Amino acid sequence: MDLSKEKELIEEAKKNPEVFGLLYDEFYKPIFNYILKRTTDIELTQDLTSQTFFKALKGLGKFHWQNIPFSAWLYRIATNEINNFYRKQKRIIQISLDKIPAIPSEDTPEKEIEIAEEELKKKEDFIKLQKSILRLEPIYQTVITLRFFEKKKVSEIGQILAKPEGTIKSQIHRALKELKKIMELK
Amino acid sequence: MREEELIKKLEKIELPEVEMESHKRNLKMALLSSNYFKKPGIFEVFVKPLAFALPVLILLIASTILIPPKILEARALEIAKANPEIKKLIEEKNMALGEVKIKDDKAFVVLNSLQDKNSEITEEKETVPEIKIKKVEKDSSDDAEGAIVEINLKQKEVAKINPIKSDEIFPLANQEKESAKEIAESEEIIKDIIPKEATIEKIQSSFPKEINLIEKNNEIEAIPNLVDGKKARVHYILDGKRWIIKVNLEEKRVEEVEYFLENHDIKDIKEDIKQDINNQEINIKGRDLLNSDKIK
Repeated sequence: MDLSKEKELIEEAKKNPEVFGLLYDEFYKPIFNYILKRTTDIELTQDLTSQTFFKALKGLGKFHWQNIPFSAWLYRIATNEINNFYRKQKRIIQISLDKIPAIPSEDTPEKEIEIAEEELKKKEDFIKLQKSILRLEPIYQTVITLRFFEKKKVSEIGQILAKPEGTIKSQIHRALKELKKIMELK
Repeated sequence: MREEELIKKLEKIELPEVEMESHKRNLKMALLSSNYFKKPGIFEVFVKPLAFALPVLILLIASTILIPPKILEARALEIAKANPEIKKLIEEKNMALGEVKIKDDKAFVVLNSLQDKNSEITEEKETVPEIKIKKVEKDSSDDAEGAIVEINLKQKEVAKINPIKSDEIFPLANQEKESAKEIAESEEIIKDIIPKEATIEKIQSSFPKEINLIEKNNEIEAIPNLVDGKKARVHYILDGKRWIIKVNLEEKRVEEVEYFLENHDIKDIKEDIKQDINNQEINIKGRDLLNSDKIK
């Protein structure tokens, strides 16, 4: 989706739920899988994805177009949610139930979660690697995931984290150095 | 492990890619049915804002109804006092600002005539029975005796000065005029002061002590304050001379004689009055008055 179309859609989405639905359909999967790569936990990913989209919807009215893709804004919200979660080191999702409605459970078959977990288990190497990545500081986890798993360019990571490219480059460099140390210790 | 090897490992590692269709669908439903997209109901549109606005509204109404009228009245008086035309009326015609009435964004202020000083009095004395006799420098019988000043409060300026003459606003009924004439003619002193040849030019209502303002049919109207009774003025004229007999219609008595004598020697008038009163053999008190310093 080109940026001008995306801008139009966002303005329309502020008032029209159907248009917001289109944006959601476009970005649900990348955001869900980004969170999954960071957490390697299906249920936690579902919760954090829900939180990310509810926060996006809540902040949509105040969203001002600054030539940064909508996806970058969503990645930023998701990153904040993940990092907040790890900062608190709790598996309790900090959401107020009156603000975010519960997702009906009868339509979320356990089987779907089981299938997803099976699929995840097949990626044994990734899970092992992720265990090492999880020992990094949240910002290093973020840049490693965005750069190598989400295949984002340094400039795109800069947009997501609202930081200059130079900062991102040095953060990636330090993150790799730290990760190397952790992996060598094993 | 070298850094390049780590990078290669990170780049080539097989990543999990999961589809969660039911979660995606359910989350979408939850998002789209959230409060964000709910159209505001009647409560949100009217009741809720009203609940917030009500205290402000009450304050506004209270401040409009209760506090400002006095402030507006004071402001109106200030505007009137600053107007050069009104200043002149106050100083030269000896008028005074009176009642103020606020209507919409206008203020109406009464300019009352301070009657005794309406025109320059050169001589004044009292007789028995108590009748004031005074000579004035000029005939002011046709002058405006008061005014209603209209002030535009928004523009903070005097919009109009409407002169008022008592006879135009509070005219006398024919019966009242007849009564005034009878009272004047029956007064012995008056008979002596005014030559027999003098004729009645007009009989008009006397300017009340005070004018009040009332709102009637969405208009501001002047009404006389008749606390000291309804009064009439009987105008006698002869050869450029004018005598105005002020009659209290309720007490049925003459209160005052005001006279103006065009090109007439003031000494002659004094003599006239002295002669008139002496001829009437009025009581001692009256003569004492005449012998006092007031008339020499």
